[in-house]
Amino acid sequence: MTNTVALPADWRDILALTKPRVMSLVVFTGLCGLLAAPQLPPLALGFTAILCIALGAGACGALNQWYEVELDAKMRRTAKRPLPSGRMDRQGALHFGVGLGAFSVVLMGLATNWLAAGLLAVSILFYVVVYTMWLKPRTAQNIVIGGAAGAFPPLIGWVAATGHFAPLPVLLFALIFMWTPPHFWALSLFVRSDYATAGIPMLPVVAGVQNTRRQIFLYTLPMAAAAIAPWPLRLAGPIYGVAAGLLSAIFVLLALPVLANQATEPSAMAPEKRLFGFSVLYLFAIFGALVADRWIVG
Amino acid sequence: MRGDDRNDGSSGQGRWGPPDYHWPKLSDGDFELLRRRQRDRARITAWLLGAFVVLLFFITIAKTSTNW
Repeated sequence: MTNTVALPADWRDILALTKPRVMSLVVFTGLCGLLAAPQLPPLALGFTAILCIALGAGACGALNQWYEVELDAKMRRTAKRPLPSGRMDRQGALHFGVGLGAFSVVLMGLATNWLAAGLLAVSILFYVVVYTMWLKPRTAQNIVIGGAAGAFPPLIGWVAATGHFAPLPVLLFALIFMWTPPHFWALSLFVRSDYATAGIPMLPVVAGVQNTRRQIFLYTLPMAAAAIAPWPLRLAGPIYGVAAGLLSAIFVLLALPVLANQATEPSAMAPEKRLFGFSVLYLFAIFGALVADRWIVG
Repeated sequence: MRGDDRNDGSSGQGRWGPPDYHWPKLSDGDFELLRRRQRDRARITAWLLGAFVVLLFFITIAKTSTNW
């Protein structure tokens, strides 16, 4: 029999389990997908759709941390999370994640439509089962394929509003899908020792830093094409087109010094850190421009 | 209280009593922390449930009035 006291987790730890910072980007792209749709649902239903996307993302975060507790304990960046630091019990995190995920899908189906709920369920399962459990510990292409999970929110937002697919949200899906590798590889270049310690086969660990830099640059080109495409295809107006063109040009220009950098020490990876920082801003700005275009130009 | 129902760190010895479980002794600090966390979680759960009921109300109104 154990003599340790199992204290109930603090609510801040439960909140941390949902990865609120990652959730903010997911919620924003989902909201933009919904606001860019040709017809808007009533406020209560639109709010519920975004809430469900947020809860689904929270469930992904909780289940990811439940599954990766040993890995998180080995990495400096994640060792202070509630599970590896022992502030919360693992079984509780599993129950919380499964419950939150199921709740978000059912509520989405009841409030909007079951196609959006199905997409939400697929995105949660894709992130947890395909990315976290299957791809991440096995292949250096983990975030290339796994990036699809993060690309779902604008599609879900659009389908929640309209009830069907359309070319624009599919292009937005492609944009996030192509954006994910340069974004994550830029980060993994300067924290690669953490990934190596934990035994995660991220591209810089498996294929080397120079190969990763080449791959980052190569992915920025189709990403820029996917970002700009809605304008010439007449799916978005000039505000979006100009913003997407400028932002994508800056992204490619910031990827050039990364390509030219020969450094292997994180302290000499300023171009990588700059690209990583800009990549977050890029996605926020490009989706913001899409909504501005939709509401100003129509 | 029957002797085998004690919760003071001693074991249950009676035939129908609880299994031989040694409850850990809580220090005053741990006990206070436990009660504070239980109170916080109860309060947050109550607020979330209340918000959920309000949300369901508005969802119902929106769905019935707009035929969405």
